[in-house]
Amino acid sequence: MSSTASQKCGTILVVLSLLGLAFGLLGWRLFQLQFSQAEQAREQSYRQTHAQVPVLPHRGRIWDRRGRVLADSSRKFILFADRHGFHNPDTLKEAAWRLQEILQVPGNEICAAIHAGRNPGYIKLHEDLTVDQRTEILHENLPGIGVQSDWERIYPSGRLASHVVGYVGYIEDRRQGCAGVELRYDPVLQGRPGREVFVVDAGRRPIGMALGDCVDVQHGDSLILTLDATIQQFLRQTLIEAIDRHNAESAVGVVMNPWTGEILALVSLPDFDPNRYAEAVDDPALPMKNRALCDPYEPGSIFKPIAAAIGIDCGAFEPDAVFYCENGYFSEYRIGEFLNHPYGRLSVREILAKSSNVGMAKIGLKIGPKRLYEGVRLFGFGQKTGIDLPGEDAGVVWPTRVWDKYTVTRIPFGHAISVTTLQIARAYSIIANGGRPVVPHVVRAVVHADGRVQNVQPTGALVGQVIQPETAQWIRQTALVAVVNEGTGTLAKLPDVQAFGKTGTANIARPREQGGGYDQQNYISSFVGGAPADKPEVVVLVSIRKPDRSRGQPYSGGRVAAPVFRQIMEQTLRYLRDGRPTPPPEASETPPTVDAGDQSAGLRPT
Amino acid sequence: MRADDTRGQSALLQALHLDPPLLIGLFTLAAIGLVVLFSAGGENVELMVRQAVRLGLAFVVLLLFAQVSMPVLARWSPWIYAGGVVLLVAVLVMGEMGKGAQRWLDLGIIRFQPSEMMKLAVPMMVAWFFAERPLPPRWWEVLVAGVLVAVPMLLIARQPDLGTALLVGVAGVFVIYLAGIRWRLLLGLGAAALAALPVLWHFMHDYQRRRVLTFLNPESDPLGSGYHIIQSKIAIGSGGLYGKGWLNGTQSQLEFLPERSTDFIFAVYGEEFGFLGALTLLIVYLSLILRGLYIAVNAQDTYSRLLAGSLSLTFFVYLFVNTGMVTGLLPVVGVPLPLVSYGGTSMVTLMAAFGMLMSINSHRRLLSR
Repeated sequence: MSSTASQKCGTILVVLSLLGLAFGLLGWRLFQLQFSQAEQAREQSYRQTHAQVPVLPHRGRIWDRRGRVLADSSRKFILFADRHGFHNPDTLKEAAWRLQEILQVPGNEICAAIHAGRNPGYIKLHEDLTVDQRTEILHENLPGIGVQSDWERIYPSGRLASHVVGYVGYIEDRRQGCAGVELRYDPVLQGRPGREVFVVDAGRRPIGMALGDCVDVQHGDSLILTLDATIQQFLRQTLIEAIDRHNAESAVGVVMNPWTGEILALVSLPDFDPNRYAEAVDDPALPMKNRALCDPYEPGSIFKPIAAAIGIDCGAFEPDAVFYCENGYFSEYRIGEFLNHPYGRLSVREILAKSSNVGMAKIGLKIGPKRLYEGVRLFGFGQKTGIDLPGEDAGVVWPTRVWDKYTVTRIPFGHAISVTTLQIARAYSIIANGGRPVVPHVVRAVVHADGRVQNVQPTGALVGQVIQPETAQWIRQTALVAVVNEGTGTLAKLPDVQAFGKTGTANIARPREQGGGYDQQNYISSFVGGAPADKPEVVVLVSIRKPDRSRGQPYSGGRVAAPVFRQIMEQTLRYLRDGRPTPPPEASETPPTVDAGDQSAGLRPT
Repeated sequence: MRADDTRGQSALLQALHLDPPLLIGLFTLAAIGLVVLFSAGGENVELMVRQAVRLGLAFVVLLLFAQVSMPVLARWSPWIYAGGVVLLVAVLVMGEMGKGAQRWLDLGIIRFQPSEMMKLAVPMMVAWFFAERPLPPRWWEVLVAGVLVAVPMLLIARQPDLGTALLVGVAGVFVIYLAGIRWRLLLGLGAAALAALPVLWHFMHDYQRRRVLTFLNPESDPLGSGYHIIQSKIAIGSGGLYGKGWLNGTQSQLEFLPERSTDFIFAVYGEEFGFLGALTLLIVYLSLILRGLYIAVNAQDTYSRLLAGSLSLTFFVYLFVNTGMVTGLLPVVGVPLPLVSYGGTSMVTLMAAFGMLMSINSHRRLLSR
């Protein structure tokens, strides 16, 4: 009896301890789940009950100076699938079936795409839904299927300003500006993405919005360029015709306000369509290269006025000085004339008008290496101009310690120095504006998303004088006017306005692996100048590379580039003066206003 | 007056053979169950009403069983058991397909689940078998009892319904254990059970094997079989200490949690009422079990004692298997949370068991007076 009693007690004890153990285990487990791991579980719960949809910002627009749209963003709708929303093959099949009806795409392809997607939470099914398709799909409320809005970059004017505007592409899956203003001003244009957070059910269907977790989108700021689409159009059209006429390889054109440094037009041919930039990436003609900025070359004769200006300005000689031109060949320095003209004694004006190489060599010897080097640097060669476009080349000006005996005679006629077209345009702007430094730039103002307009000032040294106003005036109104009126550039002469400028027929240096020296067959034909000579409104540069000289076709700057310059200058001046009173006759030091007023037209806050 | 009233009330309860502590516990559970069900069922009033009606019916069953005194029940035990076995065979032979398993017997008016009945019949039978014999039992008596348990178990497992088979087996084994089994024998049986595991694995269906594997590593298949456990753990865990509040459980309200009004209702409760709420619920369950065991200890004859102990412990096993499953301690076995999960059959069985417990308690008093 006592043994059964003790056994009974034992049994009770065992049962009670079993209960204690089990409830202890449960309690411990609950504590573990709801206390120790609670934070983790809450995160998991949040993750599966909330869906984050990025709200992509509207990328800012790009306008020309008169409010014409060069780049815009239009809304498009992307269809995507979230594999977490399909709990069994049937819901997936059902969704694919409905999408087949709406999109007219085979359902099995949709299924396959959803299965194949690398990111299970976001599988793009359709890039560009119509508004009707979007409405219909949203109405269906299919599990695991979502519609997201995105922006598509469009360039309404296509190739017109492709090198200035640039394009938007993808860098490692991230969309961003890849060239031109789109690249340089990318942080301004792109804005900051926002986030919409939805509470979703197990089918990933939105139930409501978690307002507290949403982040407002910040749309990008827009830009007003200094570019004028009309001038750009003149320039581009004229250059295309010139390339066709001369069967040339490429061409560059710049139209610039010499007083402010504003680029009114900039064309580099061949160009590309930023709407279809991918086609241009691998083109052997390198249409994406902005030749005005990143194609340094030996400028040739168009450099001569700069050297002459340096000489006069530093007092090496007077403007009326006369130099003996060795009858066509300067044997000590092995310099010949273009077409072997046997020039005798020429004044500085004549040297420039006739473009004498020997005369320029003499000028260089008169200036001397130190002053020549300083002057060239002061004109901004060997340094970037500071234009607000990416990829600019600085060119090369060797320091005097590496110069040899010949260098000081070569630089004055544009050899032994490497420059970009834009640097030349800037140098002529300095000559045109009376010797003041300018920084070329293409962006005029930022229009903030809230509508505020903020002007953009180019940065850089803009104080002092590069050369004396008198020097600039003499070079411009005496020497360079002579080039146009009686020298190599007569084809640049305008009927009613006095233009000034300089021709250039530059040799193309051969790469070292091809033996160095100069290409004897091909030239770069240039003309750069401005008008009117007394108070220039614009500086225009035209440079045509490798015009076809077979069958006696012309190839010199005076024959090829000067007429193009004239056409552009004529059209530009007529356009700028159209509907405006003619400028006051006397030349004052205030810059003429180039923009024709209505910059506010077309400036609407986005 | 008031004292008279309470005496009057307790006299009424006594006349109906009801046990106030058990009654309070059961009503508390039923109330909690209805409240959670309202939330788990998506605020579906109809669902809640149906459950309330079922609870009412089950309570009637409890009332009926509370009136049956133990000697009567003991006498019926072998017949009920035998009838149950016959029905199980019938189910196997001509039972209709339901959820891919044969569990239901269509009796024309009502559909009947004989395996559910065996949850009560097996402990009754084994208790009856031991009632008239000296205890502790000899080894051959244990063997016979083991066969009595094994036969219905195997029949139910063949349906196949492993969960119910195990619960029926557990109810029987508890009686054998309470009858007083020697330690050595217990250890031997334990070893045999362990040895039987691979054999059991061999006979398991694929879905059952998957459940075990999923239990061992739920993350191996987060969208398939592991989904239930993962979602359930997230639900309970995200409830934290105080819970998200009634009707605010996102896991359940947004339909992430599967089977949320039936087998996984504890997860809904845990999410909305937190650690403190879950502990409270466990305490209610524990007090019911302890009251049952108290009744067993104070039972006057062997049959009552064994039956009361087995029923209380089986009730505990229900609770433990369900909460263990929902919290990821045990593999997924389709066992509802007793008296809280939506569903009728098991509720009737459970209430019948509590009716028996009350009968054991109240009839003892009547006899002792």
